[in-house]
Amino acid sequence: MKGTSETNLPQRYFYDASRSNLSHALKDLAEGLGRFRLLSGMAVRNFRNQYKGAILGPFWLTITTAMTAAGLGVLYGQLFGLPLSEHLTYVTTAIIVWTMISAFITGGCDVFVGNSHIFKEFPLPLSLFAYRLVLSQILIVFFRLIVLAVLLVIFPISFTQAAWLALPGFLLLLWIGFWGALGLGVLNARYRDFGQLVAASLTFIFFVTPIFWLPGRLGPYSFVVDFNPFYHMIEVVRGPLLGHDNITMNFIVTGSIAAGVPFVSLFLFGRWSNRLPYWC
Amino acid sequence: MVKVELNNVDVDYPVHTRASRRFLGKSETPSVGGYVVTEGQLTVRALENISLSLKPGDRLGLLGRNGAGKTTLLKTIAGILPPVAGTICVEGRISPLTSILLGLDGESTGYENIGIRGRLMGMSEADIREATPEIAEFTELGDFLHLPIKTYSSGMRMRLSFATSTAFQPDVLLLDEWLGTGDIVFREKAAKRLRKLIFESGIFVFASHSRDMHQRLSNKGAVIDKGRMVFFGDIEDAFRVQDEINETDKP
Repeated sequence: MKGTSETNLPQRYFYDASRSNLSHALKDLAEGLGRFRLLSGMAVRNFRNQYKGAILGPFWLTITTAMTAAGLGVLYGQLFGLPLSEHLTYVTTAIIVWTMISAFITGGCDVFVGNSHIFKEFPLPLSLFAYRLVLSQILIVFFRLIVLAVLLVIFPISFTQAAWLALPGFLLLLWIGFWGALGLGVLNARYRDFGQLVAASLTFIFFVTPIFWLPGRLGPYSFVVDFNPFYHMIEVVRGPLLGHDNITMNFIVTGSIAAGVPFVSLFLFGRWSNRLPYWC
Repeated sequence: MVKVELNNVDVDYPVHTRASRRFLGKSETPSVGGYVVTEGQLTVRALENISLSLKPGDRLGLLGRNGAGKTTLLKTIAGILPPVAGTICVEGRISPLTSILLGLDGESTGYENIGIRGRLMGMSEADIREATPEIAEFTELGDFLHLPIKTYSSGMRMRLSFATSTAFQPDVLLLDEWLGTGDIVFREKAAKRLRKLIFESGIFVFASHSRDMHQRLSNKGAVIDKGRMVFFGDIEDAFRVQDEINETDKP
């Protein structure tokens, strides 16, 4: 039998209901990250089990992405009279980024509600489930990126120095995804309408965001897309990669979102994390 | 130093689903469950004004009817349920031995699941590595430990989760009903292991309806009735208090 020497468990639990919950929530965020082995194991097993018994396994993610991108890319490339080599890459990149964003939104709504059977039975930092979501998305995006890699072999493009900016762009999205999930998770735990509303909005957003169409096609109204935050979030990856102009604006908007979302989510999580076991 | 201290703790379960208030408060208050608060937000007051101080060597038995708040109290001490009022201070590593099957993965092997469960309980990788041979031996599952546990019977699965969950010595041990597992031979072996874990823990809190178990394991007793702690003291005295309450509750 093993003694109580070195463990990841806190040696002390203190809770004062008359004090603000914020410090409790901040501790939760730190402890959640401290349980990395647990959450990475959960993420990997979850991912693996999703494709158990399927011969192609997670490569189905690759196939799904390829099919969607091929369909939208070829069809709309024809409709808009764009060269296939360019439009396919344009659509594929956006599809990969958009599916990740939408997975963060739906997964975020479910981050506490969907895991309550665990944290209502065993004391765990609640933020652990938001960290796990980020890790799962990284795993998934890897298999989706294969499509883009293959495409770039078939239709090579000349990368500029700025292409590297796609990486920090991607990291910004993960950062927004983590905090967004934390906030959405709290809101949806209290009001389940929230998840429904969000799910209903996703298809709408998909069509009004320049994912498979070019903003320039809107003519004099193309400025409208600048008010769509999802456009900027897609462009921080697609813009640098495909050498678009004016990516500064995309990075400013996405950067502002990345700076603002943590405050909103910290407010929500900081205020109500202690109610989550009761709401879920 | 290991301690468990609760001061004036209240725990409320809010009822956010559409429960019809019209019917509430009309009939006599039932003797099971907590108090239903209908003013403002509809809530069930599961624990009210609980104060408790436990020091090393205390093995507290929780007595009370269904819905009295025994499990809620265990979950509150464990840190699962933050109270709406009062303070909780627990010094030392807590381990709730409730729902010991939680976290197990059917697709993973027995050996992998030892790690999975150990990590859930907060053990370091070194702890898990060190404890694994002993756990494996205790389960007597042999080669089955190399197979995914979805191939196990429920009894075999219980052996694995029991052996793993009891392999790490906590300072504060929380138990919700005795863990009776496996066949006759294993049951005896398991009882011995669990007793050792209990008696080597600093503080033990045990919810059970079995007085026999309480007599064997607890040296202190608390009677909880409708979320309130009506008695705290010697375990034998606790039995007497509970008998009196049950007598007056009789219709």
